[in-house]
Amino acid sequence: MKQLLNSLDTPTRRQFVERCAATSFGLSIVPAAQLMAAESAAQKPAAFGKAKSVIWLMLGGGLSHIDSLDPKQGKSKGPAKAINTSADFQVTDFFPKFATVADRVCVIRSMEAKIGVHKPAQYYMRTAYEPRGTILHPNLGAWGSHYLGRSSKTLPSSVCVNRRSDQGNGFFPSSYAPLAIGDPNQGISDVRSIGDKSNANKRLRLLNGIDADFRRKFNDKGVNAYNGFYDDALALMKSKELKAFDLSGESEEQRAAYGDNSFGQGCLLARRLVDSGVRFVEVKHDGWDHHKALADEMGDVAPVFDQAFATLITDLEQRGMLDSTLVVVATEFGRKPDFDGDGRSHHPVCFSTVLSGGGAKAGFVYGKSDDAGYYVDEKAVSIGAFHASIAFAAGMEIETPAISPSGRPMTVGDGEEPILELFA
Amino acid sequence: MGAGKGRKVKLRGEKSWLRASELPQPMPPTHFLRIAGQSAREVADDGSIEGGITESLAMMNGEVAKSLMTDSLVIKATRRKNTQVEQIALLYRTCLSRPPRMQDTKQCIAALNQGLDLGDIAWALLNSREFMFIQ
Repeated sequence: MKQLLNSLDTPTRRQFVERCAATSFGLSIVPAAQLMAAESAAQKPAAFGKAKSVIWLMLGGGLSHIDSLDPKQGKSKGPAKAINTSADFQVTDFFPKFATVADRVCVIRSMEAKIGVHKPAQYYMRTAYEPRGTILHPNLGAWGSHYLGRSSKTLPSSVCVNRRSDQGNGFFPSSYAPLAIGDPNQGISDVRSIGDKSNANKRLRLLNGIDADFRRKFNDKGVNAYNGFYDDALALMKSKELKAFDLSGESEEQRAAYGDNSFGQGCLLARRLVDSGVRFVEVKHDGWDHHKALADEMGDVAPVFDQAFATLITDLEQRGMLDSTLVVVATEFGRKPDFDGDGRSHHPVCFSTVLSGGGAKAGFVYGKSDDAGYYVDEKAVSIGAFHASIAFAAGMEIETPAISPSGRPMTVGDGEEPILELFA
Repeated sequence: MGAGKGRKVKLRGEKSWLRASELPQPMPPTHFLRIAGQSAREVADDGSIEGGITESLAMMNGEVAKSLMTDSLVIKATRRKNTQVEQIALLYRTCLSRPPRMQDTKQCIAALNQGLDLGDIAWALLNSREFMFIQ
């Protein structure tokens, strides 16, 4: 009580009632409150925790929603025409294979954000926080490691393909950072030590010996992070499950079905990794920044995505993995309804994303943009709510915040609630 | 490790020892520079200075480490020195820009006597946190 009185903050209503009850009647509602919390956890909706793993497909640049998942008529219409799909919504003819699996996906047409610059927008989409000078925020793979622990004994819990490992662990320990695969065809490189094993061990002992003074003297976060990277790298070199990273274990037909390019093979690698126990895999696909020659450039990148995505969904379904794997299609922002020459500029205030599998509703459209595709008309989805929804599907108890090293409580999706309507 | 005068300059090759600023950009995704944070140049402002497991693997087992250990200028120059003490001193000055302390020299000589060679010492210096954070 004394502590409460000395505090500069006003007591909350619950604290006030609790103290009154304790003072007047010698009662405490704490046990009852805890019981209530436990009950509400037990009554989580069925979709909670259905997604054992998440495959996050990140389209670098901004996917033009109007030319892909949210076709428009009139002035906004682009070079593609709208086509019917296996569900009761339309996409453009840049995505003909997507159209055949549309009855297994949930399209969100009401994403709303406010950053229109590439790097910060990527950061925002991966972390649900705007970049700040004082703290780095974790991606969903790192949040997964925080709430759910390691997903595999020897493999990393989080992997990213076709990109580096930045925008990963955030304020969490560097062991939560994703393992980066630069080229899925090569899998994981440099996992064999140089020369024979006994020399390699001696070399390592020498390194730890001559570097010990430095590590002791500069016992700071940066140096310790590198110590962690080396420890993890050495553990991985010894892992028996490294074959999950090797695509030569797949048939030629299977590899061709995903497409002979780094994104297609990345999606195949993601399926293999998820199957081997990796919880979170991001596959990046660059080339979606269509300021100029949108028709030509979409003609280059859309078929690559279209083929890989449709194959991934069908493959997961045939293996009985689609229920337990949530496939996410995310991008940095949308593109403007008005043309600027023969391309479109960045447009963060309204764009589209996709969820498929992992308990998400199938053949479903959530939210609506206005007739031009300029603003969100119904059911706006913030990036925070998008993240909270994915975390909900993955079974993270996001009501309990994580405490950052500087003592700040941080939550998945910056405090936003999951959108239950997205899930079956 | 510069490209000497008259030496044939190979572009795009893994083994052309040129300054990063003289190489074409971006290098392929698995190239050492990309692993160490070079931008893919698909969008603006995409470089990174954060480390990772992939970078540690490349530093320990990759092409750069292999070349450094066997056919690099520093190893060739070191071999021309007469005593182990001089050789170790040259490696330290080249890799860490400082002379070795007494206990550094001792540990390195012990390692050489255990069957490691000068390349292994260069490897250990390259992979030290001191090299990473001070150089």
